[in-house]
Amino acid sequence: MDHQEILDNIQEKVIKGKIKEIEPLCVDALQQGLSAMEILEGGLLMAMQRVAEAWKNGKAFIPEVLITARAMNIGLAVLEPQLAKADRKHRGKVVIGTVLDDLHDIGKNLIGLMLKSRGFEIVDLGVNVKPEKFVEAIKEHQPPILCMSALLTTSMVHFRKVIEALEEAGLREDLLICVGGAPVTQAYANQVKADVYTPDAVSLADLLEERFS
Amino acid sequence: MPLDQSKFPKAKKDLLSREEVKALIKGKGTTRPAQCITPVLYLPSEQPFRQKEMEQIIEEYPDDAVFFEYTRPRNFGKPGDRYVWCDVENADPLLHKNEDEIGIDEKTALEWDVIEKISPDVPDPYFPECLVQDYFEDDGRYRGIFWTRLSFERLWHFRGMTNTLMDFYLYPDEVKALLLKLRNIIFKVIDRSVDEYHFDAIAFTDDIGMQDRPFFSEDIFLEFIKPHYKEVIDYAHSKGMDVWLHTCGNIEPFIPHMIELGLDVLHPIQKYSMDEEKIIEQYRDQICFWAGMEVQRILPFGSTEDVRQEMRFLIDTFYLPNKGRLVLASGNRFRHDIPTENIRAFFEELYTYGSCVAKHGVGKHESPSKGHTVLPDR
Repeated sequence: MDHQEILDNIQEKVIKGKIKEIEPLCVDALQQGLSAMEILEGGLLMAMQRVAEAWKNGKAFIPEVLITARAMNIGLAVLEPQLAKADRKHRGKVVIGTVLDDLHDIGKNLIGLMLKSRGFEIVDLGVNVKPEKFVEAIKEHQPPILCMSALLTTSMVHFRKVIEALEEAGLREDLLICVGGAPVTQAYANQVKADVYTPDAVSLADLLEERFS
Repeated sequence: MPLDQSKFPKAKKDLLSREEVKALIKGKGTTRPAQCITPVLYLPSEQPFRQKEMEQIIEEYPDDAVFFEYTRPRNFGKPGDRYVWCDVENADPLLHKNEDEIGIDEKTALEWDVIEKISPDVPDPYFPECLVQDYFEDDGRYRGIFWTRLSFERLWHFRGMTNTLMDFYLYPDEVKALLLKLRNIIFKVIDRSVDEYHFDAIAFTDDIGMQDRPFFSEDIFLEFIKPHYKEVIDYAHSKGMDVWLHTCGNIEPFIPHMIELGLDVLHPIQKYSMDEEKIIEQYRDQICFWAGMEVQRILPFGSTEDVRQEMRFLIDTFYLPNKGRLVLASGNRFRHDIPTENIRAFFEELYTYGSCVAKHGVGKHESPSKGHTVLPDR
């Protein structure tokens, strides 16, 4: 198998969710003389890109995105020691959480998995997160990005409360605040003075990757 | 049992009888669209701050079809407990140990090896704790049992949603085995509903749609979900019961399959997720729609006139004059951000406009979502 075939094989296995095969394939690829960066970019990231493209075209769904992100994170764990040596770009920290009065977390989990696989460091505050907990986390981790999720009309009002609390604490200015969730719209995001709204986690991951490249 | 209107002394409407609702569902004629909202609302426990007002509204506008909720089995129990989903002692949730940190779907997330240890015959629907809450005798209305979590919803209550969505790829055989077990429990619920209560229908919840697309592909639906639905629908029909299904979000690719399976009533055809006019154009008179008024924008943030206009739009769109095929409800429960005056407008317009179209035919009202953008401004 030549190097391109090895990378193509990794891509296919990632896309098909053959999670158990990812680790040995990455180990084998390293042994075959491919660099960690080549495996990451030509195998894992390429697979993620293909699934993201399929998502945009309505051909992929959450299971495929989750499986790909998880497979990618398994591969990354194998490659990470080599990548550290190769000085892989770290894109910065992202604090994520589902707002108060809301326990829905699939969107939050998805953005966490996808951003992690693209070189961001994730601080996951979980669900039902109080505004003061968001403020504490921003103070402690000083991330460039905050992502908040809400599924309910009764909980999305907390976006505004978190943003106001951050303003009061003097933490708003250098922070890119992203909001999303089923009832959220661009107009509502504008209304609560968030910086970014996307209709889904995949689009947000693309947007943040581009902005923090 | 003939319908006795005098049993509803405070009602501001003439109710539909069992036979009329049955005919409406099958498209065999009706005098107006039916109302069936209480199973969607979970009244009155979720509205304590306006419980009396809600009870008064429901007394004035009683449902034409009523559903009784079963007592939900507990999630966890000890070995020997009969009415639980998991009777494995000390079965820990899988993903997180700190209650503050876990999502609703992960509270009960179990490892597959724990699921394998659950007794095959729990929960036992013949156990005395089951089946029906707040039961009242037949008053001539159409009656059914409401059983939540038909397939996907039950899977993720075992495994957590993130896991479940990956399980279709990683543990397909285990998913199918769990659905088989679930199916056998539902069969017993159907048996009991027919033999002991003589119910006309069984209603299920199974949210398989997200805001903009289904949770999973049509391939996954065909492999895992459709066979399960088919078994349940066929069994209910063999016992003479109609099957109603609530499933939120965009489920457009699955609707033809549901029609093929003979599903009788489908809720809610969610606005902003699907185009109701396109859906009715494609599937007119092939299924009875249980149209649910939108709860993300119009009901909570619209005016009472927006609510009335949306109700007129729903009836104009879905109601088939001389046939029926339309039951009305909200799309989901009335959360506390929906003003009570909007709830009252909802019920009043449902009945008054519903009765009006029966006499004068449907009109051409547009949804307020087309005229202006209803936005949260509170």
